[in-house]
Amino acid sequence: MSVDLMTALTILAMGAATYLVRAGGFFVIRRVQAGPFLTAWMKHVPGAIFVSLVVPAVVAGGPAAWAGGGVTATLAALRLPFVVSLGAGVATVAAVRLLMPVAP
Amino acid sequence: MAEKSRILFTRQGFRRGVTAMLPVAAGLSVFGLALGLAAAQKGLSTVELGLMSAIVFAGASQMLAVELWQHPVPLATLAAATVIINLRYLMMTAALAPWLGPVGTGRAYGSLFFTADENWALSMAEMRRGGTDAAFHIGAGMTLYVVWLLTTILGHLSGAAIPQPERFGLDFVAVATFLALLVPMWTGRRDLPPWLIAAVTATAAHAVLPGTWYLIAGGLAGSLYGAWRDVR
Repeated sequence: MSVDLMTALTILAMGAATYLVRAGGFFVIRRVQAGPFLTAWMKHVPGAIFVSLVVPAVVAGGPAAWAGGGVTATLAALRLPFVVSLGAGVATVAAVRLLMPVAP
Repeated sequence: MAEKSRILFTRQGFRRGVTAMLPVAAGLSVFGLALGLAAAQKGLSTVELGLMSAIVFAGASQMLAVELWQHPVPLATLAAATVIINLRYLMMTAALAPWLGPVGTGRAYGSLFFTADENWALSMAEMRRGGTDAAFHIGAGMTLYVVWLLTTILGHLSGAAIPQPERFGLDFVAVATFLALLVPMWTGRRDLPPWLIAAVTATAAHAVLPGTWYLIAGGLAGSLYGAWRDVR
């Protein structure tokens, strides 16, 4: 139950580094006069990041992820509650892996 | 988008954030357990890992730090890797400005500490739906924070995480979360070109670049194209 000094310093450095980028984006955007380009850019950031989070993971995830992604996307498009689309997608992934086991 | 003056910061908003995060955090607890297990094998003490979860609170960079852990501890390498892995937060927290700008410095910079991919995603979806209570963000963030802290410590103590979490599809929880939030963001065919550019760029970058560079590449390509198209 001890904390090594170098370990503590490293953890503090990692924490400072993380907070710097967390606060940095907000800090900068508050201090620049947002013109039309910046305004339009901020509007497109969430969609582009969400797509970037999802698509590579689904593509690389094989048949189970393709099926699970399809189920979650379909249910979300049908405006079912978030928890339902989430749970059904995860259950589909588990079911496909059960039916089509791949060698590790 | 809501008027600046109408942005609130209330207990109710906080509670709604907590409720929205609970199912997501339950799924993500598996990753906390897995990190705790890995950290125990690398020789970090329970207190050291708990401190890291409490101070850094960033899953991907903590996982990398544990992977690279050795004695002497490579402080500079880990600090630099942490910045690079978390660079996406620059873009993400800038997008929170409509909520955090009007609520005051203390609340804004406090909320920013509790920003992770998952609560940011929930907040952006809530903002798009016309949500005006900025406390939603820190409510969801603190919920994830508590679950993350407890599960990383629990994983470290137990030494045995859930056997084969992928059998239950639990490794798909994060992806399904982002997907379920992405679909309602679709506003029409004008979204297709920037989304397609983000998808292709991110998938290509994912195949060739290490770490989370693919998020930055895809996020920048799609959003910059969309902005250029809208203002040209």
